Amino acid sequence: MIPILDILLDSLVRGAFYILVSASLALLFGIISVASFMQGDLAMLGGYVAFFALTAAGLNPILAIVVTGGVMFLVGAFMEGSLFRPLRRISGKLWMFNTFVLTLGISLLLQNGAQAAFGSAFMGVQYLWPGTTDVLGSSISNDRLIMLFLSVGIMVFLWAFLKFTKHGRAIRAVGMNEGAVPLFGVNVNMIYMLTFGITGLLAGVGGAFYMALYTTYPLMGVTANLKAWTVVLIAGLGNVKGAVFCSFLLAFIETVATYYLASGWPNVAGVIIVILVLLFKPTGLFGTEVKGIWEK
Amino acid sequence: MGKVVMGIPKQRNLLYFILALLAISIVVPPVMRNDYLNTVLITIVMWAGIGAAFDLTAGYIKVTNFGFAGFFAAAAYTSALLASDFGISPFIGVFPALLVATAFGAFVAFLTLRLHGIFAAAFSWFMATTLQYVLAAEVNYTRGYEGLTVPQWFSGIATLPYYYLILAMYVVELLILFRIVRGKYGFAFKIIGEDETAARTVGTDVTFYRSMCFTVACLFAGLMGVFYAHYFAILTPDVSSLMITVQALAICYIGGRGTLWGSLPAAIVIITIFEVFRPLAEYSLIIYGALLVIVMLYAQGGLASLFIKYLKPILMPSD
Repeated sequence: MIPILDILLDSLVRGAFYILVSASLALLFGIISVASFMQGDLAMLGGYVAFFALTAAGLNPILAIVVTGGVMFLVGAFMEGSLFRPLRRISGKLWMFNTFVLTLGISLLLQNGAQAAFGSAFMGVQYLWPGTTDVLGSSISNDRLIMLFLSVGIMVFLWAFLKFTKHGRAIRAVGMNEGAVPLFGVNVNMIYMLTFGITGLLAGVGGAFYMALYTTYPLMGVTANLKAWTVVLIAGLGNVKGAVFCSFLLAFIETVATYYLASGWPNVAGVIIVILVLLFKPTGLFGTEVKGIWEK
Repeated sequence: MGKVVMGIPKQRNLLYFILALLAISIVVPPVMRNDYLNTVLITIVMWAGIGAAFDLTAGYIKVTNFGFAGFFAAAAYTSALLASDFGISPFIGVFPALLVATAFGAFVAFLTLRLHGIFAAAFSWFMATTLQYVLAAEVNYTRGYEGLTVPQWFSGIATLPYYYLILAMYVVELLILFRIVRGKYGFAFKIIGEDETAARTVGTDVTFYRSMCFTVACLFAGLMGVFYAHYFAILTPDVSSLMITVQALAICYIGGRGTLWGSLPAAIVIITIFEVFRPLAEYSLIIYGALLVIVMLYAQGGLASLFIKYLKPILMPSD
């Protein structure tokens, strides 16, 4: 018998991790054309923040996640102000090309900085919320369930923020036409900083969840980066909605591969999907550059 | 950007300078008779060659080849397996190895270079990582992380032949690359890098030129990979890891991208620093990271811009 329910549940939970980091990558790319190589490392940093908030400060789980989000928002905003703004001044047309290398440098600094500061030990907590729940006859731990809902909840919140608030509209406007936005009295620098802050928050909270279920360690960001880029390439660069859907798609494919193929293959499965997507629909499943007539 | 093109060495001073440099690099090692010096020089020239191959895409068509190590490793393992399993001399095995690296590069170029350069960067990174998984998993052929023992280029322990070999490879690489970038191809590469839309507008076949540039860079990545394999005599899947790519990228950027020769001063400075301050090697990645951030923010011209500023008036007075 095919364990359909187990596969679906596993892939939902796995997908919940991919959502936040890949959404942060898609948002950075879609709004301000930053090809970021450091989102995974921001997640790693978020994992450490959450770990210390839980253990050293002894906060309760919800509060710890809120603190992680806040701290990582500040980290993202600070990076924008101190590193990316000077780069933007000198980059011109090479902005995206340059951000890739700058984020790589930052990624190396974060990885090795974490190694120097915290050592290479795996740090994690046993659980945030004890116990398990039965879902349609299949048992699943409360942690996983709550994190799944929190991830989706954060994404809904992000969507509402971008859609309905004044700042959210300004962020989308910068994504559409950066040159015209200052004419309407929007401070572009502030929008850049806000976007970086939000992506720091998303990646950081994603890392906190990962830390809670597994562990965090200095090189955790490498895998997270790889997954986030896989998702974003499948979805189409810069498409946040597509990234959410494709997080679950990739998670589903990987889960199936885990069930039916030898170990090691789940990692290859993602790359094969990317090859197929690049061959047949190079702008990604949800690519915004080539639109079908019914998507307008 | 445009100012860092190295002209055809019609300028006499420049030609003399290059010939003098070459003469020194040929004559000094046998006179010094110092194996340690030789190994350092080999490392320097090898990384200068790797940086130049990286520079062809990063500096001209503005594509960061983030899977550089994958092409390096593909050629290294091909030649190594041919030598260890079939006893084929590396001097012959280098050709199939280059073919593999080139085909691998052409495949990635075909898939991604119709699109924005960032696709090529991300996708070649995936390929390199996948290759690393495969190399680690196929223990029967590659011996995985135990390491594959590779026959060396030369029998005996003398280091001088290796030095001359890598020097010859580097000189050939630079001659070919300069020949390419000084002709119409280089012109097309530069336009595409500066402004892709403008290049399309004037009828440049952007995809073709970009794919060609990328594939040639992969070929030379492969050449350096083959040298690496038969010089160090041991290969692990880590040659396909980000570590190699990061070093190539850092040396290329610190040297000054878009010059091809900039990697040489960068390799000299960096390798010397790591040799003199041995304990620093442990922190090499953090140093590369910091250097990348500094170069990106404050010195995008890299070391080459210093040379251009101070030596160009002497070497190329006609400008």
